[in-house]
Amino acid sequence: MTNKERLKRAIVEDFNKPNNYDKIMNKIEMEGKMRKENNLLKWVLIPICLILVISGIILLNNKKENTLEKKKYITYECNNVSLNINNLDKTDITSLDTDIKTVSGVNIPYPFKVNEDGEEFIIPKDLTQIKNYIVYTKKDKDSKKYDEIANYIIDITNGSDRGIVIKYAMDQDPIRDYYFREENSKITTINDVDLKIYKYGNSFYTIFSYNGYNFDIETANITEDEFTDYLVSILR
Amino acid sequence: MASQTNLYKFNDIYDKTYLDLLKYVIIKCHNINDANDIIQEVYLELWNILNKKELLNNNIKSYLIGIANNKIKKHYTLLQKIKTISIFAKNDKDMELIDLLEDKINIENIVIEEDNWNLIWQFIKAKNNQDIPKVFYLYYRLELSIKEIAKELKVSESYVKNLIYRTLKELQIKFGNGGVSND
Repeated sequence: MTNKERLKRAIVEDFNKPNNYDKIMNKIEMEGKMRKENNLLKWVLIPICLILVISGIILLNNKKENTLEKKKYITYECNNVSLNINNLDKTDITSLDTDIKTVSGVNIPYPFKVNEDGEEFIIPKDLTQIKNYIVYTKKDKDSKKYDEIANYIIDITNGSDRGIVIKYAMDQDPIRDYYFREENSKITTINDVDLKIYKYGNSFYTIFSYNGYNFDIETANITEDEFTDYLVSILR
Repeated sequence: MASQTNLYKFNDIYDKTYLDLLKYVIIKCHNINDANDIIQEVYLELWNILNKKELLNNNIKSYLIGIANNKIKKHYTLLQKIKTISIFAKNDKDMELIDLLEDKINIENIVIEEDNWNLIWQFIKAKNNQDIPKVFYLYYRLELSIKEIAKELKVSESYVKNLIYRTLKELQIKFGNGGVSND
């Protein structure tokens, strides 16, 4: 064999027709497989994706609902009374500026019913200091005169960090220096009176109407039991 | 069934067109080492087309060349095209001098062990000037004349001769008996 023939043979081997054919057939087979797999994946993945998306939406909604429910309230049982305490967090509360004047040491109407024993209400024994206030607002905003009674306040404290503040008004809600959303709040019923009870930190807030008055009651460092006893004692 | 018919048709086209298409791809590609890949891509596309539509046999070769052109264009980035431009002047007048050289170097004068010809072909293929393996393919594989090769590659005949002469000389030094003829 001549060198020319040997070189020719090397070139023919390099661009080998049967070899290239086999490689083309392999590629065709691979493409077919991939196409089948892609089709399969497409038909499997689309329903899976749909299921995942739907499940995700459902889960998210459930989670939201659960979070809301969890955030909304806890139920506290005490002396056969169930308090549904709605939880508030910082984002729920907005402080308000109110233009008022408070007058202390005045006689105010007593809003609760006194029982046969003359007992007014049950409060923790250390809350011995009681003060009454009248809150006035202006009839005319531009006026300098605080000439309209907005609400009354009974402030009961231990002289330190524990206390109960009872605000009440007859024809309107007592003036608050804060605001929070009351929608969807869980209602507590004590002696046929519906109350909305909220908790924020060590404080309870209660809103209800009773005996012709609208009440806002706010506590500081009062326990659930003490709070329950107090509410039961005033809502006779 | 359709697939089987297509396979017969494909095999027939492959048999009839392989060499011509390979020649076209080798002439047009920037690197001869890519020729096999490009050829495979062209026939793969042909297979896919056959499965999609009816092809008329009378124009199949031109059709494949059209596919090959697209594949070659896609295969090379602009940077690769620039890199593979030959640094040799293809129509340099100095090349004409080669015609005056005594043709002492002949491929048959190179003493090389039989097994090394695959290695030599790989060496030729690895040349920076890719006209060299193209010329060798056309000259030694397809046995075209210098004139035909010059026409196919659109270069001068002396340039083709020069590439063959210089490469054979290099092969003799590198793989042969140091330039000593075995005559």
